[in-house]
Amino acid sequence: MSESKPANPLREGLLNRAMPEPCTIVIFGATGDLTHRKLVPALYNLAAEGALPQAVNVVGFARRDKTDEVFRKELGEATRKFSRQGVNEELWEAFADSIFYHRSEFDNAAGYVALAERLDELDATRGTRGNRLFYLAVAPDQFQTILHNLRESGLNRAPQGGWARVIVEKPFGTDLPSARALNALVEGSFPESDTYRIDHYLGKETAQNIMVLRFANAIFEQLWNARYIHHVQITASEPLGVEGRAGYYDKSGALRDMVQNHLLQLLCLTAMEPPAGLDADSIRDEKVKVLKSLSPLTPEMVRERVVRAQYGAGAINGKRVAAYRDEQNVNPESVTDTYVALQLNIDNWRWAGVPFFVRVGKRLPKAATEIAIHFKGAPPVLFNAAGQTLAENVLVIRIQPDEGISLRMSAKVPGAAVRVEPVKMDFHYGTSFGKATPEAYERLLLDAMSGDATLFARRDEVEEAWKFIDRIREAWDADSSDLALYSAGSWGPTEADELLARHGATWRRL
Amino acid sequence: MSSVTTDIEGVGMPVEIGRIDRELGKLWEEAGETKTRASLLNLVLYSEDASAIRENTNIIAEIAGEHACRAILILADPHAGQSRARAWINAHCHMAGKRQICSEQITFHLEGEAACALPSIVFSHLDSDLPLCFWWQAPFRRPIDDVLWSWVDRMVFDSAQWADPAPPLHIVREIGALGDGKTVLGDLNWARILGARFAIASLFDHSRALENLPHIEQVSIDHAPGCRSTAILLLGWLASRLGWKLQPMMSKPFFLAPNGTHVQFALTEKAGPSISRCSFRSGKCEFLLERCATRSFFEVTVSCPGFNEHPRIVNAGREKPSDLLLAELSRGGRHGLYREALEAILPII
Repeated sequence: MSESKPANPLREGLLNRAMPEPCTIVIFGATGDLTHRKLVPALYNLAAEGALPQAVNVVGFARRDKTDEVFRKELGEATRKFSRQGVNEELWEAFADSIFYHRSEFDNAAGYVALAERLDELDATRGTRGNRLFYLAVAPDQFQTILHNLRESGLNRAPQGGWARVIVEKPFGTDLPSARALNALVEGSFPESDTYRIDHYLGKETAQNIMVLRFANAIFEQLWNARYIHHVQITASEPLGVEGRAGYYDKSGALRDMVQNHLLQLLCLTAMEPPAGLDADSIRDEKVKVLKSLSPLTPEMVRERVVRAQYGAGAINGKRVAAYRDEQNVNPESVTDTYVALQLNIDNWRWAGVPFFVRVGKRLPKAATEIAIHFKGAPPVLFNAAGQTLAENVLVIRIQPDEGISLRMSAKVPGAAVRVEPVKMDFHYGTSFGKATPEAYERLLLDAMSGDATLFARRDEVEEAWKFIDRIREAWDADSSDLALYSAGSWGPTEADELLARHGATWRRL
Repeated sequence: MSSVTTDIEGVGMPVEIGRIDRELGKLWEEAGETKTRASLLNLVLYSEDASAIRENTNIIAEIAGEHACRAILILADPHAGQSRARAWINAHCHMAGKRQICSEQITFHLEGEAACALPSIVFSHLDSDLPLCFWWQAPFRRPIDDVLWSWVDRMVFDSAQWADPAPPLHIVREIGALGDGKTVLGDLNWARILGARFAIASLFDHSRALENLPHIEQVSIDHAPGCRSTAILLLGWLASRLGWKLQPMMSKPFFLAPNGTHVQFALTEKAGPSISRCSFRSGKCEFLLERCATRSFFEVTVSCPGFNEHPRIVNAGREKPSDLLLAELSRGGRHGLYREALEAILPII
């Protein structure tokens, strides 16, 4: 989020942000889904909007044998399908000239030496000045091999005056020891300042808007504390099952797959103190403070405050769907959590006594990610006197889909009698800003090219999050008898409802 | 029935001016849940050209897809013999997911004395608490209506339409200075050169190219007939960014660069897009951008001993009035660079 004066004075004022320096982006796992669906369409859209410098090369590194031309053709087809704003053929042709394919096994040292030679050649012929961004769009078990070979071939060190950065896709480990090992591994090749851990939730406009909502509007921040807020609900629900990711998901589960990263990030943005500045470290410092303030859960507290569950057979949109254990490639005796609901507490002055309820689940009735701030009720007098309980005010920040913000309040129903009903003020991004919202990957790739790490997770953030999550995992590993079941298409197990009922609250109906 | 009358009457449902809000309310009530009214902006388009009604309505339809607004379209005929004010309402809707998102348009035809009541017409039909963007398409005249202009957040105009730019430019600058100077001046001519500015900037991104920037000796710009002011504005932008000072008193004006280099310039009229070619000479290096009429891209090339870049294409931007207004609304900001560009070339405007 920081800005600097461009070296080229003619660039000043052309973009609302600094233009990244010319660079080559090397994508490991170039034939994979992420490259085709997200990364290259994102880069194309950035190029189409003039947000990329004149010299940007994309080099795909993968095992399959193919030529530059074939690779470009495949990516062209994918971009036409997945680009949010379609494709201008003339512009695509020009952009495609900057795409190259490099075939090598990930563990073949000679392949990296050849890559280094090719990058040097591209620097010389296309003016990319030795700046390299390595994107590890591969399974985590390949990280070690790739990082080792990048180091051995010297590719992790930028030529003089240039830079070499690495983007790591989640998961950032599976627990604290593995995260530390992974971070040490990455740090063995790239310093923390050149490491970008991507959590695409942070690239979403609405996630970025949480800080704007809180710190650009004076009315909210005054109320943003335990004095006025009763509790906070953070939900990420999806009707999808494991969809071909069973191999990964059955080992991971909802807690590791979603809570450790996406949901704790949203919680941090919701709960953090105003940062000293908008630079990456000021913001990440505040997020880390939230993680450090999370009340640690003992095994007894885990039993009391964390509900884990797995979906059984049911129906989604009227269509029968199988139980999790009957999904392809899932262990029929799996105790993997496909649903987690938990109560978190933040032990600081601002949030003392305010429970944060987080729930995430698969095979729930609809897809929705949102943060709901439930304010305390009005005093029990006048319109809120005994027997006249009013709905409390709720501020909802919808992350996806239908990004927006709504505020529930009470209003008088027209008529001679005094009848008060809840009404909703609703702001929809799609309605107010007709322009297609940029994909999260566009923003994140541009930031990584620009050296802005604000929307990327820092090492200590990742490790603090694991520290909290590991306590839950350890309690679960010691006793798996508490795994609840819920029917696919329902809103989760009744145990999760009880979690809120203890605090006089209910889950929001989404 | 004249075509003007047909145009304006085809623009929507006629309503009494005193009942506009009520009729708009009914419009949305009848639409029920199927349509959602949205508004982030009051957008006023003022014209004295009767034939502009249809095009302005089309512009609003295109703008509304990206900038939900309450649009107020005013056709004024201050010289009409009779004083009359009439109004029509309509909506522009587009699909957003499963919903139709709609912007309102109120069209006024103000004749004779009624045309002098412009501020009251505008003020009484604004959507409250939303910024006011006012596109003035008529000639600027004195006296300046400071009651009206001090309410305007963004005043849009197109200096390329001015046959003699100096007098209206003075008025515009005075309007910009009203109050605390809060009114943003949005010259569509500035939006028109955005693509060229991007393309020219990209010529000098490479460090080897950048070294040449302070040593430019010659700038040549080819512009379309009627677009001399566009080319001058582009020149003004270059001068203000690079610290060149115009030496207008010489028989052939030139710019003086901070390092003492004399920068000659030549503007040539040539059929085609508003800016079709720009070249920059610095020693033995030439930096060139060219665009042919049928393409929406500039081709940029650098020829420099020991340093040759691949020719590249850079989006030239679009030039339809609605595209220019979209660019103006989307980029926002106060256009500090525009003011600096103007200052740099005022003597030759």
